[in-house]
Amino acid sequence: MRDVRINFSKLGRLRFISHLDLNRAMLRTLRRTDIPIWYTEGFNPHPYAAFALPLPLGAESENDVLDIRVVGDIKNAAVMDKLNAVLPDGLTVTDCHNPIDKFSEITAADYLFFFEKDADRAMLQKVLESGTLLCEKNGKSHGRKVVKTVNLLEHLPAFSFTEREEDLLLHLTLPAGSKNNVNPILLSQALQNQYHTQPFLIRRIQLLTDHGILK
Amino acid sequence: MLKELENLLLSVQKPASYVGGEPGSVMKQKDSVDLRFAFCFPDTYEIGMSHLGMKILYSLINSREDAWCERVFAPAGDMEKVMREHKIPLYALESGDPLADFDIIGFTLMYELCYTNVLNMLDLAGLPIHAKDRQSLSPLVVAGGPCACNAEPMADFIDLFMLGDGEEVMMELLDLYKEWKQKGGDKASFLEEASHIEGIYVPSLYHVSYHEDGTIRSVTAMKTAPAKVNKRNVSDLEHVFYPTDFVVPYTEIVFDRAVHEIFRGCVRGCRFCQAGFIYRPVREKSPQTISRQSRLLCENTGYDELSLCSLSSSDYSRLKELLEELLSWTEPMKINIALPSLRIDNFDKELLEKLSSVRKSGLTFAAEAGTQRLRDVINKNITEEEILRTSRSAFEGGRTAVKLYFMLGLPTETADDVRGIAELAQKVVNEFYHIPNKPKGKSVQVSVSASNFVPKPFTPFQWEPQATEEELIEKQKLLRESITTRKIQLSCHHPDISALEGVMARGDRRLGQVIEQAWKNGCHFDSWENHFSAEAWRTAFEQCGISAAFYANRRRSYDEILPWDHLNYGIRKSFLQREAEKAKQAETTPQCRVRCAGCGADTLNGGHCDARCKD
Ligand code: SF4
Repeated sequence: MRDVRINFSKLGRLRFISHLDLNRAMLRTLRRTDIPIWYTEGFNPHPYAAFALPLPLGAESENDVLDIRVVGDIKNAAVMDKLNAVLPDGLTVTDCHNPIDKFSEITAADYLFFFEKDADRAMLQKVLESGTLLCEKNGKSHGRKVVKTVNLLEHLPAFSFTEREEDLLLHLTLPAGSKNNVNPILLSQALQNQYHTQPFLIRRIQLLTDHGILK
Repeated sequence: MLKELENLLLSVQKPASYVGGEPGSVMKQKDSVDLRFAFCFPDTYEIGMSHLGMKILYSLINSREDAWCERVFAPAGDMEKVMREHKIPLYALESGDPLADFDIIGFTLMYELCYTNVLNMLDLAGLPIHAKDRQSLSPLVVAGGPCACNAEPMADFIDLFMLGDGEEVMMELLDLYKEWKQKGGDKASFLEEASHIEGIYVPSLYHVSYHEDGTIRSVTAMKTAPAKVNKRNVSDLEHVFYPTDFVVPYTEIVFDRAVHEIFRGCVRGCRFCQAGFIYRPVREKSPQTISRQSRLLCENTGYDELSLCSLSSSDYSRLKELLEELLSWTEPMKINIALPSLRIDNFDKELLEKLSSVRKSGLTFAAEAGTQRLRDVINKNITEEEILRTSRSAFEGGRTAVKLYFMLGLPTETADDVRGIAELAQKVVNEFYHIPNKPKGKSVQVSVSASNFVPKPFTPFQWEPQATEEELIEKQKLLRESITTRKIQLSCHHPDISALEGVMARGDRRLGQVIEQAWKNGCHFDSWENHFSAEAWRTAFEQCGISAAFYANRRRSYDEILPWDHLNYGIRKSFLQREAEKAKQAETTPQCRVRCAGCGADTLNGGHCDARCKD
């Protein structure tokens, strides 16, 4: 029994599939292959799958990470081929390897925000450097539902712009993981609500630990 | 997909139901097919995607190289608003292309209360809702499903109906359409030619005249259309097409699992049940074929649950053999088998243990009526003794919940019958307290669900008046008052929704204007309690000067011409009449395996019926 770390992309219309739905789809995908998967014990046995960091609904991802558990003899490359043979359009395994880092080590994530060509770059830059972008967030306090105001730019993000023929790209690194997590969709909505500018697409590029890309 | 649409999707609930791209969905090049078929389900994605008929026909049409079938569902309110605001026409999930681009638009009519949704979907697609206003061959609007057995209320809107089993007639329809499209034939000549295909009913080719009292004087076939239209019957279930793959949704739907149909038809003959008659005769599939096909299906979909579907699982003649066959591979593949509508009374205990449906869900009984007399009237073959005995053994096994289903407003029903419901439920409660080793510290919960009886075409009760809303409210009140313990939980259905269902079920084509008016008054999703507007419907009936009571609450005489009399489902009117008379005497009819009751359905199946005991 061992874990295999799967890097995969989730692109296009699959960004409208929630994390929970993706989880279920992945379990079913595993069952459609003859990969010798390990099943959980108990009343309702199912394959084991653990995602590194849920992707918010509405964002696509170039490099998402998922661990599965296999029993018996199978090469990582075979896991990748077998999965790619049955995965639906929009989901593609890009790599399979033995896990090195723990998911709890994730501290940040890289994103690409795609803006229309005529978006106000100077304004965006000013907002990002200001260190303040407030938004209301549903949370819980002592088991009760509350609405909290949070500052999405509390930790000044690293960012850069690329102007292209067809659009304006914002490359942005945001805190991610269990300690501090900034939801890029909330950030995009806050931009829309307060500055009437919104990316037409958000793509997560990679997950980062303190010592580099999650391995 | 439209970029504009994508940006809007995050503002609606369940965006995944509007984007397609699920595993198993079929993509083709639109230029490389001759026929594009939009399969429309007039309800939301979660409901439509659970429907087996759609899965079968989707795979069947897509098995043709010359055709591409796509799916369309009714958008929920928030999505409809967004679509109308941004002028996005109703589109199919696979290609994202608007419905107007398709050759054929096919609706499946599962229940009468979806009719306004059909109109709304046509309108959202930017198409005229009336068949006569759609003059070119494409898009042709067709419909099938159980309501097609009396779809007269929809006659103004649908170009043709497919009656009965869809697999064969669908293929023949596509062939004919392709021929017409290639030779540039017009719609009128196409419809006339299509009316010669067994199982196809073209309503515009029938002229209906009425007596002064509003009943039908005559229904006359025009041009070369047949005087009587037979439903289509697939006689060989062993070799008929069955999908090896399903579209597996990402989002949660009502029934998210592999399904296999084990037989068609029903041997029971419950007199209130339309499905029990219109799907006759009984045709079984062999355990080997079911096992082979459903294994493929599970392997291709990755589902971990397989549901065996039929009107009454226990009546499959080789059930034990089938389950053993299935368990040989479902156990190692960790797949649960669900057997809905199983009578567990005298079922192999060991096999039962291995079935998830019994394990997971509580115990349910469709008792339908509260007294033995009334159960005899409706020919519902279940006794109080059986209910109590099975409940007792379930309680002994540690279970504490039982569900009982009943109907109110059945023919001949008296106050005693209504009180009988409460009494039966009370007896189940008592049964719990009589067992010596009842689970400690636990209490029993008996849920009673009382729906309202709606008389349907092709049943022995097709001539019966439906209980009025006032009567039903009285009955519900009486029932509520007869229940004296908190251990019994009662839930009742809205009488006004049932009343509308009843009008539509036995309606004629004059109701088309009411449906249209109701839709204009804002009605849609009428089967959803939170959407249904009794007021808007009442207004629509008034605006059209049409009486709902004429359709619902009137006793019809045996010699009245019924709106569906020119449709032949094999079931003989004389048989239904015989059954209706027996019902009045509370006389039962044995189920088909004991003795063939001569319903007539075998006549459409070359004289065969798998339910008939070998005589
Ligand atoms: S033909 Fe006879 S056995 Fe077959 S369904 Fe009809 S009544 Fe039952």
